[in-house]
Amino acid sequence: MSDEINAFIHEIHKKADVQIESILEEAKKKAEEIIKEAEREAEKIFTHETRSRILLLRRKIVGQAEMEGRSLVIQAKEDIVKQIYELSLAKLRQIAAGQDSSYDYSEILYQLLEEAAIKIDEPKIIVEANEKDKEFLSINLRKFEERLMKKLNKPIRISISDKTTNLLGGVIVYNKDQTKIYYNALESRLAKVFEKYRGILGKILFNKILSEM
Amino acid sequence: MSISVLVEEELKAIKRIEEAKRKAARIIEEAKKKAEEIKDKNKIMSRANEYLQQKEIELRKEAEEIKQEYVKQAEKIRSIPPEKIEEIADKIIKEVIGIER
Repeated sequence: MSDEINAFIHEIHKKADVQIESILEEAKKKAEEIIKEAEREAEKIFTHETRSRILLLRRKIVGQAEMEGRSLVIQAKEDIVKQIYELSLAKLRQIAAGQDSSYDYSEILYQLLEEAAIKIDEPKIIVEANEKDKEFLSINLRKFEERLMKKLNKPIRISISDKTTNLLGGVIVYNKDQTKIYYNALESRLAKVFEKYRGILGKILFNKILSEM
Repeated sequence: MSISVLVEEELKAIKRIEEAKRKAARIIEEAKKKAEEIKDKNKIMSRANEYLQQKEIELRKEAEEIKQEYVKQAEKIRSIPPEKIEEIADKIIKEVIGIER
């Protein structure tokens, strides 16, 4: 065969090779695109199926743990608050019984009476107290009236109620027709102060302790 | 003689190209089949379930860690020394009584 014919044959092969390569290359590209598109679709379905279920699972499992954990912390705080309250109450009981030498309960009782009398602001007041305090008040009635008169700069009559209340200590004071009543019992004062401290304990004490962790 | 050789070579080339086209069609057909498999809802759901099971294990671990953190906080709160409780109770008493010691 002549060189010329060989050259033609070579050219035919070359053209065919180029065409074949292009056909196969294009097919591979298209195949890749088909698979990629399928993967995108599958991923979309997968994400759609899992995302909401993961959110639900998280809410259920982690949410539950958060709730239980918080409840443990709240319970611990409540226990400490209860301990403080009970200790405060026990201390008050000792003071009211005259068993705490740091406090003069007779003077405290007078101060509670004085505060109530000022708030009621009537010439005649009636005082309720527990049995022990009533006895003390009855004995010192005239003395307390005089002190109050000096304090208020006007006359005042104190009568002790026949009713005996079951107070830890302190007084309940009212006017004759009971339109004005002032509760100055130790329990109610403790409850009031304690409510204030409950907030302080949460904001300062517990936060300080937890921030030190 | 030389023209017949060229025609023969040309025919061979055409055959090869036809064969390549058939191969290309097979490649695309296989890709389509594979794509169907990839998009098979049952398979996706099965994969999703496996993934969710794994995720649940991770979430349970995370939940346990969170809870332990709270347990530590609760223990820390309970470890407030009695002297501190006494000190607070004394402050409360002073305020209840309304007079200083």
